[in-house]
Amino acid sequence: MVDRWVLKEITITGFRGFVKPKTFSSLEPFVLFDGPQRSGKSSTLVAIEWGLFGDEIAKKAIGIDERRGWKIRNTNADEARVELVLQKGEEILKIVRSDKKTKGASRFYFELNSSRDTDEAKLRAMLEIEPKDYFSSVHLHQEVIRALLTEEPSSKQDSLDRLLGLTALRNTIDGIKSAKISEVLKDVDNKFVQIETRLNAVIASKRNDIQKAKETGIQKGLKSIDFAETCAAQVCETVETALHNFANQAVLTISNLPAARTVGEQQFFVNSAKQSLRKLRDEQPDLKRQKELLEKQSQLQRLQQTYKELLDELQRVEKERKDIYKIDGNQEKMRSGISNELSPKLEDAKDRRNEIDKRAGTIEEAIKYFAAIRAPNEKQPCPVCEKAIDDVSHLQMHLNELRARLDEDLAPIREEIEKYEKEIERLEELIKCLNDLDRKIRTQSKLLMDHKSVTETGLGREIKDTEDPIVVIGGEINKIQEELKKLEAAVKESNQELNTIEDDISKLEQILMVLVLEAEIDDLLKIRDTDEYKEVENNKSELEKFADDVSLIRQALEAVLQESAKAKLEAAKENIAKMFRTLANRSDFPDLEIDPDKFEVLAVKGSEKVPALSIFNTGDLNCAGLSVFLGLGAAQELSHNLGFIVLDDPSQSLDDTHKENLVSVLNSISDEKQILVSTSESDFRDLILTKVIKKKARYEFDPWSDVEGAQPKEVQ
Amino acid sequence: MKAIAFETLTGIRDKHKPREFGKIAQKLLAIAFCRLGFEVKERSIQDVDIEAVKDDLKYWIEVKTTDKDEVVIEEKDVNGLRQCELLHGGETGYAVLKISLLSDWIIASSRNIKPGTVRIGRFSTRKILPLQDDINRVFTPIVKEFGNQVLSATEGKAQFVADRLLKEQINKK
Repeated sequence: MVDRWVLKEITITGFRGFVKPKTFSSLEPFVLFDGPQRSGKSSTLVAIEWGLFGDEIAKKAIGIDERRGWKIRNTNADEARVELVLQKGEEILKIVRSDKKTKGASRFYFELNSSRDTDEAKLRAMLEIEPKDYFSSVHLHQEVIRALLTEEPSSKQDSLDRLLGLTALRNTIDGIKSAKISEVLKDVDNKFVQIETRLNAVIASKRNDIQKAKETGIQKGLKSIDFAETCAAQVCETVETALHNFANQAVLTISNLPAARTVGEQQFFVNSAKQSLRKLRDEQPDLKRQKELLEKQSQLQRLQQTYKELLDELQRVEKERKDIYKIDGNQEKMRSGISNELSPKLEDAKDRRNEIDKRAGTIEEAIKYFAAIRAPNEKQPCPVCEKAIDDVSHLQMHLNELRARLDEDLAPIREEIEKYEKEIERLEELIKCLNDLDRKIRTQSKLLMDHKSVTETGLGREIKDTEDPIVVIGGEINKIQEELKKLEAAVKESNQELNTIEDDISKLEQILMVLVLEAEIDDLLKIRDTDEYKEVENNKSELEKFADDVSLIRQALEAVLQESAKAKLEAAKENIAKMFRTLANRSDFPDLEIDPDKFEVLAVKGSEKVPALSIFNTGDLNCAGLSVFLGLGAAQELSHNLGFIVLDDPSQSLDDTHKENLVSVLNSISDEKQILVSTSESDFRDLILTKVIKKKARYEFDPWSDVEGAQPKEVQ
Repeated sequence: MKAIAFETLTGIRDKHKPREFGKIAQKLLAIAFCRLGFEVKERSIQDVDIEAVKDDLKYWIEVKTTDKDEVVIEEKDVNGLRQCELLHGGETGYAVLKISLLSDWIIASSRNIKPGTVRIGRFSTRKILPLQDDINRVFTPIVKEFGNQVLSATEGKAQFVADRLLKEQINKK
């Protein structure tokens, strides 16, 4: 006990059940707080926790459900304050905590040998205890006992860890688990899978293109094994040989083709081979001659056609002239007919008409005269019939009759004149027409002569006047056609050779298309050679290494945890069993053990071990919990540095015998620990007062008052 | 691995059952060891997949193939390798191949590998160099050379074809 801190004094002000300052100054090796329920006993014990750990004792993480929503300060107080004085040998440790903010003063500090510090972590390090451990190994709380004895493995494990002081180790392991490194690694793997999925999609597309290219190649006569670089090289060689052979035969020259060992070289080769092939096609002699002849034939056919057209036109015009000659004679004859025959006849007819016209004119004038005069003054004898007339209308009647007779005489003459005039006009038109035809014939003849000259140039020889140019041209065309016929076979043969080469080049292109696509697929995988990918891969490797290290650390921690648990339980095994034997005093399962692997509290009878939960009643379970707590608490292997234990109402659910047994147990550990016990049970209080051997301090709590709060008083 | 190797292996895996594919991959890997000048024995003792010896080098290799990012290591794998190491010396390891475009053989030490489902990444932290690089260098040409023969084998016979190819390689030495 001297090696650890024990409580010497507690002063509580305004904390939960307390209002006014109360000091517990005579804290002996055994301290008893007794009094009725709700009198402030628990507040006293909790004040020790709060003084040590502050508001953390009310946090959810502490695992005590009833503390959720706790109020630290009493409603009638203006400050919650706890002062603890602890002693270890000659050393005095004072801890002060308040909930009140005071300017310039810390709400928490501790003093060790008159040296003040506000670093809570430092205090915990010095005491080697965390709140969770305090609840399990210093302050026995019913919830811890209950957790140890539940069916929930994680609660049992947690509770046992706390009892064994292994929470920090477990927390580290849990921390590693909760870091979920494996999930991060899975995410990283998934990222790589995503890259691969994209790659696969592109590759699938390219594979499809390859398949199509292969199918096309097979249609061109390739075999599936031909789609290889070596085969492409062979085809290149074949093409090169064929091109040179053809060139030699045709006495043509082609440039040397490039080497074709690799796909890249072969692609270059294809372009060069195509150029050479084009050159050979264009320059092959037979084809060249064939082209020349075809051009010549075409030229001659055009000349022949034009000559024909010119001749046809000339002949048409000549025929037209001939037809006119045939009917009306030539211009001279026509002119003669006009001047010698028609014109005199016309003049004669006109004279006759004029003669009649003169008489008719007089009559006309007379008619007009009579029409002009209105009425004669007296009857005059008619100048025609000598009948006495008194108006001119009678005379007008005679004049009209006379004119009618003259018209009858004039009509044939007029017809005659018209006939002569028309004939003269027709003949004059024909003369004009013949003049035009003469001109046309001259022009056409000149054109024909000119064309003949062009044709002679085209034929390369003179066309004699005795020769028919059309026939001459036709003869030439026939000769050309005969030559073309002969050439056709030679050209066909040459073309076949060139087509074969072209087919080979086409096959080569198909092979190369496949090879290039395959190379592109491999190129896609060169992503792995990029600096960026390597960097990512290195990062992944580092992450893997880190994860592996963490995993090994975790395995090691788990091994340490298990070994430590085993070692501590082994060390406390006898204590626990002894206390359980003393406390429970069961004849059927007298012993108690804890399985550190399963975190199971076992009832033991010889070699038979069964889960305590399955056979113990509530009292036995409490005895089991107390035994584990006290057994471990009394063991020297406990890691913390506090030399006291706090038991809040430990006799709950215990019968009289169990209570007596508990006092015996407390006596047995009182050499190791200062014991602080609260109870509301008078029988248990009396047992303590009469049976506990150690020097005791007793604080009796009067019923709680609103104004005064808790009212403990020291009982001597 | 190269696309051609990936596609050939995928073809073999798709045509033949995964278990048979595992055996085929093992044979092809053994051929790779042969190509690197190792004397190879298959399932010689302790039921370990490959025993490869060259001069002072001796490897005991358990072969695992997968298309996921993890493989299952069985108790017998661990025990087999451990016993080989204890009884005969040499280095024990796992050869792990994920059938993936972005993966190659991982030849890894068996150190600290426990039975259970193990991420492939864990093996990569234990890779045995330069052996791993050497194996991967010769593996794609081997798949190109022999893959089609295995691929064209009838169902259930591919393993025997691969076995014959391996024996031919062993006898060549």
